Amino acid sequence: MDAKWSNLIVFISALLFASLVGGCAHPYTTPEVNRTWLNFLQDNRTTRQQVIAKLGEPTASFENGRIVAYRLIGPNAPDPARDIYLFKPLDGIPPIVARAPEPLDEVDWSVRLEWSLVLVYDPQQIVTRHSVVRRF
Amino acid sequence: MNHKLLLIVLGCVLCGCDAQPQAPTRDQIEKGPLSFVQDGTTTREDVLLRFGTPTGQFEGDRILTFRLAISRALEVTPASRVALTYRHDDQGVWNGTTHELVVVFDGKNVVQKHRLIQIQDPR
Amino acid sequence: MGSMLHNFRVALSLTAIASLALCCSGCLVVPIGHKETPASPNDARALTPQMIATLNPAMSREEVLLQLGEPDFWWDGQRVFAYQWTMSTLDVIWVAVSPGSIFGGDIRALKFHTLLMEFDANGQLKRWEQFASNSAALGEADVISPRKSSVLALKSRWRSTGG
Repeated sequence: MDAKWSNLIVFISALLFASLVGGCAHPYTTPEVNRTWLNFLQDNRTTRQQVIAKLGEPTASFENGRIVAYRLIGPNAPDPARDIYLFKPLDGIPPIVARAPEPLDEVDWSVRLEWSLVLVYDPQQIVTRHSVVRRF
Repeated sequence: MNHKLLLIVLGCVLCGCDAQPQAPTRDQIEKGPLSFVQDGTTTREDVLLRFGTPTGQFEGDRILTFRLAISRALEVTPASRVALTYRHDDQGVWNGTTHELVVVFDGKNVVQKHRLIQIQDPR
Repeated sequence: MGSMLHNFRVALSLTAIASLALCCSGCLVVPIGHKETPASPNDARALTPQMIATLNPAMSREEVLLQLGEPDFWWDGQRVFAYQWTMSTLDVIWVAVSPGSIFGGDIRALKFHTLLMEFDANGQLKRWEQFASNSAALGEADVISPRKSSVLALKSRWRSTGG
């Protein structure tokens, strides 16, 4: 009887452990975004022209364009080979999308991940600071 | 005796999984993760670099609003809008918002005043 | 060991009762009324009567934002704001049993609230009005807020009657 109970408890513990570990699914992380999608970006080197060539016009701008922000929206899957969706929703106008790897109508938009990319330019139009903020 | 001890340990582990810290007060949040937002000192640049794209932008960029998801562990994450399809992105639900931060800037791009509004208890 | 045997007997009895219930047909409906609460966790920003009572014509757009937070929609060069929230006042829990199967769900009585406000050219609050309409939803997943199309229609009608 003792051995049966011990085996049962070990089995249940193993199941619980497996479910806890299995639950830690691996979506894209911010360092991965930096390493894959934004690897061209370097403070004090990258120019505004280079940023626009890669990412297009920003989603929002502040202080007469000195600070700009992009919405980076990507698939909820750890696949560095997949490209990102750059998304600029405008009120009443269909979104402008760049570099979508698949037809957007086929994307489950409710499970995608989103980041904000904020860039600060100096008067010479060179990126001085930037941040990538993961959104909830 | 060994199997009884194992059961007790298992029970303690399971009970521990359910324990949550108390929901932080607005004061704790303002003195904790939001302490960098100081009237008269913090710049618009600092706020944007920390929180990303504001969820609302008014009177040019004089007033910015941010919908935030603040956890019980005082982690602050900007909220994102979730919609079923990309066509409805601007009508989506703001996912996980617990607080809204309204920030007013002066002519020198420095925070003039700000207010944190609680929407619901942090999770 | 004695208590474990007792618990086993209780579990067996409950299983027998449930099995018996599955062999019968019937329906159970339980309405649960409660005070207005946000219809879903993502709809928790509900403007209270006390918050709305602070509005006055001397308020600037800045003061409104600091008081009420970010509106859900804004138009016309930020001259019109719309706040929208959905509250639930009644949950109806239903269970239907037929031989071999059991169904159940939750129907919620909802109230959609919209607060529209208009500012003048100087950014001063000119007027505001709250609207409410009733609806129902099957469970929480059905609650989708805000509803831009309905707010747009409301805004058009409201602006056409404004001074």
